[in-house]
Formats: sequence, C-alpha cells, structure tokens
Amino acid sequence: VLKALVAEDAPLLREGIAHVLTQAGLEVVARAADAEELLAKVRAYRPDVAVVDIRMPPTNTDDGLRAAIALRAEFPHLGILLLSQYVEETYAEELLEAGTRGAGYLLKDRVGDVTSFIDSVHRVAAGGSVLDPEVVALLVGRRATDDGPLASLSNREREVLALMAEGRTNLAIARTLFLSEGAVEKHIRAIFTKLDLPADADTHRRVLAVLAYLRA
Amino acid sequence: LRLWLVAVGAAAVGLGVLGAPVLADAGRWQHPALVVALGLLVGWSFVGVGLFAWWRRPDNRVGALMTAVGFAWFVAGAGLVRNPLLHTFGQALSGLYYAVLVHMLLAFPSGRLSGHGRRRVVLVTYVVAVAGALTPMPFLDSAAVQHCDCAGNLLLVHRDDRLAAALLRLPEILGIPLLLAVAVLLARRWRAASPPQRRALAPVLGAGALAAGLSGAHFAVSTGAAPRPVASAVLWLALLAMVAVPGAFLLGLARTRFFQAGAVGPLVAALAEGPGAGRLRDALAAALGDGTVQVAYWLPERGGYADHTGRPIRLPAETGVSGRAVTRIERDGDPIAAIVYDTALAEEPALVRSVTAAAALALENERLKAALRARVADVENSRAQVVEATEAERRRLERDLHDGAQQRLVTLRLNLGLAHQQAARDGNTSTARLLRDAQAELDGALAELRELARGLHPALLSTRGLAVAARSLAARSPVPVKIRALELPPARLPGPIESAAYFVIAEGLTNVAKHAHATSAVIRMCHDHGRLSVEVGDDGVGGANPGGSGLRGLTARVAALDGTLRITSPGGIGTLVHAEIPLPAANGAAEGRVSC
Repeated sequence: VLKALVAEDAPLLREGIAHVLTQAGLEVVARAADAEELLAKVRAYRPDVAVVDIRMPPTNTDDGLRAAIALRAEFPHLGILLLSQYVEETYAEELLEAGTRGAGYLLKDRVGDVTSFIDSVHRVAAGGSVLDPEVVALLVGRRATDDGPLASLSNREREVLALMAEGRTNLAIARTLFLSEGAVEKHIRAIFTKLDLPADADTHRRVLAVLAYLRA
Repeated sequence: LRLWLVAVGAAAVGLGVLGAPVLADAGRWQHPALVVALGLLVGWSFVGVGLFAWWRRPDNRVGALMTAVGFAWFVAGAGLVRNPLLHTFGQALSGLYYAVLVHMLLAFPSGRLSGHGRRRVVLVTYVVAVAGALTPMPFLDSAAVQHCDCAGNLLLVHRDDRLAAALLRLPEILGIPLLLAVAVLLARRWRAASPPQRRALAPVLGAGALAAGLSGAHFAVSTGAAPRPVASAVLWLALLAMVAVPGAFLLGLARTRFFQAGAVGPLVAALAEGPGAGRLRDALAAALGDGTVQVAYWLPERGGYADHTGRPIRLPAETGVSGRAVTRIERDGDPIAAIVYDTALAEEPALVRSVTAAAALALENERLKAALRARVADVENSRAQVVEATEAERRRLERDLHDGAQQRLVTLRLNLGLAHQQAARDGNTSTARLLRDAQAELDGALAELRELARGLHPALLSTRGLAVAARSLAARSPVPVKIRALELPPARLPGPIESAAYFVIAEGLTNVAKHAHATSAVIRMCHDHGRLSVEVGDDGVGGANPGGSGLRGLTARVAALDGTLRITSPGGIGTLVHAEIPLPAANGAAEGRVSC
C-alpha cells in the first residue's frame, strides 16, 4: 500500500483530498496544515508520496514549494505532487530544477477529476513526472516565440510533445490522440530529430529530455 | 532712571573737578598736569560711556560696571592726595578699580557672569585687590616709604618697613596667577565665540585685556625696585590703555551701527534681483553676518513653521536657550516667518530689526511659495498613500479570494468529482451527465476567478519580482512576445512601482491580443538615471485609443508615482506603450546606473 501525506491549509479541502486518496486505496499516514508541519511529518512518517499545496502558512506565499524543494534533497525517493491555485510555470520549473524524478505540478482544480488525479499521484509516487497541461502550454508557448526548431514541428507533433511533457506514457498519448502506439513512436522520433535531442528508448529519459528542452 | 543717571554723571564730574587741582598739587609726578588730565579722562570716559550704555540697555549690567570702574578709579586717585582721611580711604581701595575692570571684562557683553570659574576668579580678584591694599597699611608709613610730601596713613599702627614691603608684594604674587586665569577665560571665550559674537567682543576684550595687563604691570613696577624711567613708561602706557577701554566700547557700538547700515544696502539689492528658493536665507545670513541663520515660514494650514521646501521646522522654545535666538516677523498681526539666529545677534536688535524689515516683503513672497510647496508635498503624500492603500486593498482582495471563494469552489469541485464517480459507478447515467455538466461549469467559473484574482495582484510578482512576473506575462500572451531587455536594478523595487510596471506590460499585452491584430509583440524594461522605462510594442494595426478605460487607468496609475505614460499608435505601423517611472535612491537612482 502506498503511504501518502496531504499538506493543505484549508481543512475541508485537506480532508477531501485525503478521502479521495483513501478511497483509491492509498494510506494517508499524515496530514499537515503548514510548511513546517509538512517537513516534520515527512521526516516522521516517511510517506511514498506527498500532495502539497504551494500557498500555505507561515507566509502564505510559496511555502509549500520551498518545503518541497528542501524535501527533494533530503528524500530523493519521495514523490511530490504540488497543487497550485494558479498556473505558475515559474514554480513548476523551480520544482523540476530540484529534480525531475517523482515531481509533479498540477492546478488545484484537477483534484476534481478524481481518476486522472489518482493516476497522477501514482505516477509521481513511481518516480515519473507530471505537469499540468496549462503549464506545458505556457512552456511550449514560450519556446514557440523564438524562431527556434519548435516552430518547425507539425501541429500533431506539438500535441505529442505537450503530452510527453505532461509526463504521459506512449500508450496514454496514443489513447488521448486516438492514434496507434506505433504512430506515436514515429511522431516522437520526428520530434527528437527536429529538436536535435538524443534518441532514447526509455520513456522516462525521453520525458526528461523534452522537459530540459522546454526549460532551456 | 534718567534722573538717577544724570545725578551719577554730575557726581563724577564734580569729583573730577574738585579732585583734579588737589591731585595736581600732590607733587608725585614729573608732569602732574598731564597725568591728572589723563587720569580724569580715564575716569570720565568710563563713567560717561558706562552711563550711556546703562541708559540704552538698562537691563544689561555692563553699563553699570563701566560706571563703577570710573568711580573706583577716582577713589584710587584719592589715595594720592595729602588729606590723611582721603589718602587712607583711597589707599585702602586703590586696587578696587582693577577688580571691577576684570569683572566687567569677564561679564562682557551680557553683563552676567556665567559659569563658576568666572564667578570665582572675579571674587578672588576683589578679595586680593582690597585685602592686598589693606594688609600692609598698619605697618606702612606711606609718606616715608614713597619719599614724598604725602599725607600720613591713618591706619598706621607700628612702622615696619621690611614687613610693609613684603606685604606690598603679596597682591603682586597672587596677581600673576589671577591675571593668567583671566587670560585663559577670555581666550576660551574667544575660541567658543561665533563670528557675530567675535565682531562684538573684539574691541572691548582687546583693549580691556591690554589695560588689565598693563595695570598689573604698573602695580608690579611701582611697588618694586624698577628703574624710574621704566616705571613711568608703564604708567603712561597703562593710563592710555585704560582710556582705550571705553573708547573700544564706543568703537564696538559704532561698528555694529556701521555694520547695520552696510548690511541692509546689499540685502535690498540682492532682494531686488529676486532671490530664488533658498537664496533669501543666504542673503539674510550674509546681511546678519551669521552663517547659521535659518528662515522658517509660517504655514497657517499646518499651524506651524516650515523651511522653504515645506519641511516642518521647530523653533527654539525660547530666545537664548541652546544658543539660538528667534525673531518672529508679522504683517498686519499675522505671522509670516521667523528668523532663527545666533544668540550673539540678540545683542544687536537694531540690526536684526532693520534686516527683517527690509526683507519682510520677500519673506512674505517666500512664505506663499513655501506654503504652496508644503501643500504640494501634502498632496503628493496623500496621493502616495492612496496608491499604497489601493495596492494593499488589491492584495487583500486577492488573498480573500484565494483563502475563501477559491478554496470552497475547489472543494466543491472535488465533491462533484466524487459524486460523478459514484453516479457512474452506480450506472446512473443521467445524473452522471448532469454532474459532468456541473463540473464543466464550475471549471469555467474557477478559471474566471483565477484570472480575476491574478489581475488584482499576481502572487508571483510578490514572491519572485518584476522580471520573473514579466517573463510569465510574456509566456501567457496569445501573440508571440519577444523580450528585448529585462534589465532591472539589482535590489527589488518598491511594491507600487513593481505593480505599476507589471500592469503596464499586462494591459499592453492584453491590448495587443485584443485589438492590435499583431503577429508579434516586444517588451522591454530597463533603467536610466534613476528612471524605470517600461515598453510594450507590437507590429499591429495601431490606432489605439489612449482614452480607453484600460489605458486611462494605466496612465493614472503611473502618474500617481510621478511617472509618465506615452502611447504612440499611428495607424498601420503598430502601437508603442512607453512608461517612465522615477526610482527611489535605494534603487540606484543616486548612482545614475544605466541599463537602457
């Protein structure tokens, strides 16, 4: 059973998230209402995954993010899924900079899409990365403003790139875009050639390459 | 008082007239007429000048002290006559004039002895002067000792020449350290004096110190065994120096008078040229000869005084305290201004009066300007407060939205999600569809709320600063944005400036997306000589309307920070929004660093 920690200062939402996780078969081992409590309880309970609100006491600015970055160094195998009221690609980048393994950043609203939210929690716990589609759109949009190689991608290739950046597997991409897995593979190879990225069979490493490219 | 002064003057004249022939007859000097004439001149000039000063400044004791020196001088003269009674009396008090002179010098110009040191020195001087003359008298046969046809000493008990001579040397021995102490006190006084004080002190202290020194020397040589020519030379010099003291006093008065006449002329000329903001003060300082002069203008609406820039000034509570004196200038009973100056100038009230009278009109003018500046400062201040309050209110609203409505709606969204999952699991498709629609509706509402809150105050701006927030804006723009420069001062800018600059870019990019039909936009931020320059440009159709509510609000927002917003939007070749906002000194305005 996966052990989870929920850090969120609004009590109703905190309980709601804990409920969703419990229902999905995870064990919620601890709850935290601020950043200090988060740090203390991760150290005490050693969860596999922490769902963390960015804006929490004590300063109500980016305390959750800073705590998460501190935890990355201390517990490299802890999966951290940040929840944010706003789409701040800057915050997502700061989290990824501290390590892409088991890191996720989602808009808070996404917790309502229960199935997809639970899927994200599992992916992060397993060491994968998850980015909110809106954050990916901003990152891709930012790169697209340069007249760089991103502009040479076809629309379909861009869709595939975005889904890869969100942390989806080839199978998930194929399902989302109603394509065969083989077609997805072909698009990915084309993307890597156009962006001049090293071809790699491993999905996780490919995601990292794409993220690195988008953040550069 | 006048009658009393005249009486005193008449007494002095009478004493002199009666005493002169007697003295001249005493046969003690080679040139009796000349010595007596000089002696008379000394006594009369002290009494005359003293009475004059007394009359003009009744509450200043210097006049009385000078008069006393004159009389003590006559008393000392009495010691030289043949009448035994007068001789004894005069001989006993022969040193008194000297003590009074020292008293007057140390008390000059206020007439008061300030400080224990001075009071003690004066007291000791009196004691030494009187006791020193008195103690030898029981043993001194003046007639025999001084080899003259003098009167006998009535206090003579037993003639003992050696003892008398020894006792006569006593005041001399004590007098030297006393004289040194006086010199030290006067030197200290001079060192501590401000230029206007020195102007008043110089003649009297100079002549006085000379007279005291020479009189001391005269005592020494007349009792000692100095050769006759030396003794008589010292006598002449001492007499001349004594005459010089009242003369110097008159000179000092005349100097301040001349000084007044000389001061007002250039002041009037300087005022006619129309002195600028701070120059009126400089002109007054020059006219009064006091570099420390402060001019304070009365601001009725504040009920207080301020300098020419409108900054409040507190007047010294009372004239003379802390070395500062105040003269308030009124017109038709209403205060206009006050001049704060060195206490020494209080000794020259006529100068202050004539200078302030000459400057009254200019002061009234400057007062109006100062009042205007103060009012502008008030308005700027309250405008800054409004800007800050608005800023704080926006932050508060954003925080309330975040902690309140947004959290509740997200929780609701979660519950709807759970309900939908449940309905789907139960195979209740119509309910599931309804719940799915509700979710979609709520997602829309959440997205709108998010935009609203972000528009109120972006949290990212607070946590990461202007450059990061501007980059984030560029990433969000539907029209591709090129960042030409984002060069800001190293330290974070004040909140209102960051906000204003942020919203210039935000509103600019919103307009680009909405109206410009542009294929690309450019943003640029840099600073130049303490001004932050913020620019949003596009290659669209142009023709932007600066009167539109968005740009108008932006213009007001920038203007509230003393900045300017310019919109260049010729039809067909794009739009450029350019804002310039002055930066505080803390952000490199002082060093004039440039990044544009």
